[in-house]
Amino acid sequence: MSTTTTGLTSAPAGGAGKIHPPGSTGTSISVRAASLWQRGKIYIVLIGLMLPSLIGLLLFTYYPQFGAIKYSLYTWDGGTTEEFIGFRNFIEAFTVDPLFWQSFKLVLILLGANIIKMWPSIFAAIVLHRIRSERWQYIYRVLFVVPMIIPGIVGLLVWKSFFEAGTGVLNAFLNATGLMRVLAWLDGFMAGRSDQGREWVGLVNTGAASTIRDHFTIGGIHGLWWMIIIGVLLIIARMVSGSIKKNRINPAAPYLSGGALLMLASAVVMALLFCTWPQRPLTVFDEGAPAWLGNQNLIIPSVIFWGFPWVGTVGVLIYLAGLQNITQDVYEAAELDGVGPVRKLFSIELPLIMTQVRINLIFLTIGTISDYGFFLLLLGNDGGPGNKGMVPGLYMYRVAFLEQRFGYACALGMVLFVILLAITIFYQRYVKVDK
Amino acid sequence: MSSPKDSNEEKKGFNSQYIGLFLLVAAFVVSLVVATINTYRVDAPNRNVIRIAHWQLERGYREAMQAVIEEYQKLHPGVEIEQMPVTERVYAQWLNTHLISGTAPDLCELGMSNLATKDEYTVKYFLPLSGVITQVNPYNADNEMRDTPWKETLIDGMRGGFREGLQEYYGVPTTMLSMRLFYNKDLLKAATGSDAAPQTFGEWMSQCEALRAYGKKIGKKVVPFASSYKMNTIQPTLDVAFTSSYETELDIDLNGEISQLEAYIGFRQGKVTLNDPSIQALYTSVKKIGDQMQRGFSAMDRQEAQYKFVNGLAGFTYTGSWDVSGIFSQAQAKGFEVGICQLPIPAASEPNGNLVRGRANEASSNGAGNYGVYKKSKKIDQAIDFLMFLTSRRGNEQLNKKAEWPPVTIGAEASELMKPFQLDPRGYYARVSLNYGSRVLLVADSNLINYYQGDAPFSDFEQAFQEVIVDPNRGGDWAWWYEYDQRRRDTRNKERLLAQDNTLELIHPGTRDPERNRRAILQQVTRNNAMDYLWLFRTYRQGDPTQAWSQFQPVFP
Amino acid sequence: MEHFDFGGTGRVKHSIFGLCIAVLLIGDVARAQPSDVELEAARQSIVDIDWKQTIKLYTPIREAAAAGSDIYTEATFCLAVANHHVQPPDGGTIANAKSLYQKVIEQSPGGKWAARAMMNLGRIDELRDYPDDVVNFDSAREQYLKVVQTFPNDPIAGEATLRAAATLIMAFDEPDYTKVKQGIAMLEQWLASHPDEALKSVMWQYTGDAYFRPLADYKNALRCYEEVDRLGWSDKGNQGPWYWRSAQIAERYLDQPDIAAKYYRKIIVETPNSGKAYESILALKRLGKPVPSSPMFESPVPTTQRSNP
Repeated sequence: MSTTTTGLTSAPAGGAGKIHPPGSTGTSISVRAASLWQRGKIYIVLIGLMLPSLIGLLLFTYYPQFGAIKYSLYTWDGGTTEEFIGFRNFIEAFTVDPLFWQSFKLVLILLGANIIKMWPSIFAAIVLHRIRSERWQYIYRVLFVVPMIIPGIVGLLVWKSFFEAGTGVLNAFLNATGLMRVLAWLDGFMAGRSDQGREWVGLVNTGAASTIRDHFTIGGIHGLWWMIIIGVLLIIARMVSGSIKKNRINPAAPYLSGGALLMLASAVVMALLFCTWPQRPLTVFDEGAPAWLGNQNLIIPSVIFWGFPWVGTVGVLIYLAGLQNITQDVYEAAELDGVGPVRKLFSIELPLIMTQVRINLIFLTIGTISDYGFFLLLLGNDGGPGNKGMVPGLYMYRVAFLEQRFGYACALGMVLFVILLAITIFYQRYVKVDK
Repeated sequence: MSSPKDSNEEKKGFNSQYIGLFLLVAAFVVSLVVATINTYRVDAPNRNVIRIAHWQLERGYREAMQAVIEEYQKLHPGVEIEQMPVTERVYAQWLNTHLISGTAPDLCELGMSNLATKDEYTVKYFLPLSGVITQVNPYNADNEMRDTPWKETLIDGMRGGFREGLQEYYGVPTTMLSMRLFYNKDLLKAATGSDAAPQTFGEWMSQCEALRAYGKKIGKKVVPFASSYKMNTIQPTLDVAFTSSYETELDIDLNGEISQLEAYIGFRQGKVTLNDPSIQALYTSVKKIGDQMQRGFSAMDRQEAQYKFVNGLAGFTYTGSWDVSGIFSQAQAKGFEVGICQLPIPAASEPNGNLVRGRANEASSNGAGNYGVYKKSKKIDQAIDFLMFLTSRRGNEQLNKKAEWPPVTIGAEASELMKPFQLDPRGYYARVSLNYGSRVLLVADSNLINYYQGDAPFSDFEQAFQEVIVDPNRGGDWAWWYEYDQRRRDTRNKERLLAQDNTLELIHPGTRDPERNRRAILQQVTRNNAMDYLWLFRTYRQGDPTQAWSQFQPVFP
Repeated sequence: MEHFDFGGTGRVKHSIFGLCIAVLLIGDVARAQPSDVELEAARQSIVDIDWKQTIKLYTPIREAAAAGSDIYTEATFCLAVANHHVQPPDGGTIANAKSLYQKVIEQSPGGKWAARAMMNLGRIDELRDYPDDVVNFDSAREQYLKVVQTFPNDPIAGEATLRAAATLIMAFDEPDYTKVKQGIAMLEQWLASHPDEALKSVMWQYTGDAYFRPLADYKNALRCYEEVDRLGWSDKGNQGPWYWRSAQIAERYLDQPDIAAKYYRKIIVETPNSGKAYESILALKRLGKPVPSSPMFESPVPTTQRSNP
């Protein structure tokens, strides 16, 4: 900061009138006071304009939050019973309430899935950004905005109807394409031989894994390990070829990277399938009408699949705003260096929209951890069969409205708040924004 | 930047931005005038206007209410009753505004709004009715209930309007609700050759099988039974049928029912187990119903179930009297006939029939459509008088016959359509529910539904249940402590009411309702400060409750 | 026109000035003597069970009222009640309530306010008012018995006796149940010596309950319930479970089918919506006793079939 010579900024903390700057007179003080008043008037007007919003914010947003803090220290039934009990609610949450902590298992899965699910929006924004025709870009932008005017509940009901067992679009599509039969076969195949072998690379411990092992073992090494090995080899090849063709365009690079990504992603997906596929066959695909939200083993996959292809309207617009901030000279410089479209993505666009990615990541995490309305509407207050859809927010809802323990529910809310705060701080610190 | 010329033109022409302001001012002025006129009209000294507000916009209800109003006005020429139907969506906000501003209708349907449901507000805005409901209803003078207190003339003994927390009656119910099995007569006839309602559980299951086979034959996906609410509405009927006979063994306090605590004590003592023939028969029977439903039926909501039924894709559905108009009109449009019957239970000659004691009675159901009297009403006596007429045999029959709802007054005849919904007082009452406490319920229910849906064997549920019920932090012992704690708080809350009653009696001697006071003292003293829960634990769990519950509560009396 | 306006404004000014003086004067008087409006508002807060408002409104009334006056005692008592029950309760509010009740007792010994204040001190000892509050049945009983001794002819004495007996019964002191028996004896003695007791039905019912549980003395339990039935049930309309219990005791434990039949009949006629009416009909048939008619059972069985209208 450069230092200024005006009396206003150079006045010490003791007050502008106590020490006069050199060359100042009584008149100049009064002039300055008048100027201060002039400036102050603007601030007064501005503060006046802000005040209604500020009061509204304090009254309707902060006050209830502070209420939650207060009631977390109380036994409160939402009505007449209200007793101060100190930290007992918190002690109960941490010592004798296993259900609350169990509900975090699903949240972690969903958080992982949602982090993956945010990428289509990023790519969609980049594609949109790269459309050369301004007219078409505008049309696509409008198309992305239109879904925003549809109420969330409508979207939820539409998606629910997609999953409906008898008349849902998903089952109709799976039946029409023959994929339902593939699922039925997969079901029998994956869960059919649970008695054989219990170990698979010491990681997965299901019968399905042993079945795969029996079918795909090549040269004594399991097929999945082969996929991982090939993926790693492709990465090495990509690195080696990059160092050989230093500063020159490497036409093989995208294929090598893509191949590695495909191999590793396939291995991870298959490993996840082996880990999660139940021991017993589900037998729900045989009749061609599985209830995606009514079967305990299909609930989590359905919730993850929800919103496919996961191109969120708001997300795309936020990323797009970030992308449009990238100046044209950055692209021009890259093009002069012979940078291809993939390199542009990883070296220019992604690093420069990390601020937006981080903010979306924070919103997404808050949404995932604190959401309960979605699960309540979809699965009921017990989280559906086997409590598979029980998230912390839904558990809080149960505690408050079914057990009438609003105070305890507030304490659980406070625990969630602290967890969210910690994650947000983690993101702020470790999700790098390199400008 | 607009040129000076432009701005001059703007000044000369009409500025369309003022339209909004004009409309706003006009709306405000009109509202003010209407409100003033209405206030004057209602409060005019020479007029006797009673206003009644409700959110029942279902077909026929307003007309039915109007018919009762006209009938009443004929009896009382000087009185005008004004009906104020308000949509369900805004009823809460509308009522809140009027209650707080002192302009609420004389009679308000209780519900939706916190101010009409929560005890602390109810006491502020609504009139306690103990004093009047013990008097006879003069509009029953023409029938055998002429000497019966008003309260006793309703099927539910006015329990629907009783506020446990306040130990007081604040509402008068005007209708009853019940659930029945609906069936598609045409589909059933096509599948079985007969459209007769199933009389027994076995018959019902056979009809379901026939419907399934018929669906396959015609190449249509027919679900024999489409129902929502998981099994929560169906199971209690079968619970009573199969487990009512445990009463002799498990009802420790001989009050005629098996509380969840008594069932838990019985379970811990081995008097009832998951492997008892009756309990097994219960689960198997519910599973059989589940087999007739769409796979994964727990995801099916009420609308979906009804959609299937009214589109001829389901043979049976189970729902309440509130849905009957909708179902009938849609079925009529689709061109099929609907039958209604009670949920069948196994006959003695059928499998597990020897374990059935009988069906569940509906005599203890609570009334609905409760109306409360606004405390600040200037015509309280007239409002109560109209309420008496509304719930007299004649008035209630008229209201519910026309509205196609089941009546609440004893002896009031139901409409033809509602006859199948009349509550059946014949049957048993006690039932065993082993899901003691919300935490056991959470685990047990969601595992049981897997079994009912055919997604997991019974042993999965059994294992989950056995694990959770003995878990000290979420099982039966936790639920026991929770009930003890709730009971103790409840006793303390009742003390507040008594304190109010006693203080007001000191301020205005002789104004206390002695019956209400005696009832409150009795209710409180018989609860024994929940000390009997500790005694029960010592006696039946043979342990020290203060040790077992120390993790939930450090200090005991 | 202008002149008239000026005059009008002047009058308004004078009126406002006068009003201010009046308000000040009223305010001054109010400090000396609480107005009826203030008192009514304070009393209304009790009707509304709004204890915070009670504290807010009665505090200035108490400050303004002359010590020892009726209003002063009322305000002190109401402040005590409000502190006793204000949410959330804690050691501080309860201590305030105790001290205020004590002041009421000191100010008007032998008065109606003092009697209730003594009772309420017992209630504080008996009930758990806040989480770590330790209840003390013995000291509660002492307070109740003090009420009985000080006001033996006041209706409150009966209530105090009931409460004192309850502190003994609530001990559930197995295996001998000495205290429970003492509590029962206290109630029975009182009932014998006070035939006009207002709470006698409640007392008999509670005594019956104590005989039933924990003593399992079914004969005496039934005797008490019979007495309640003769006097009339306090929770009229909800006595169904007690009728059923009486019938069960009579039929299953005491072999008194006539008494059992009496209660089964009462269930059918008086509490048909208790859920046990149908089983009572079956029980009467089983006992070979006549079954009374009931409007509820006169209605036909719900139809099982109907056509689309």
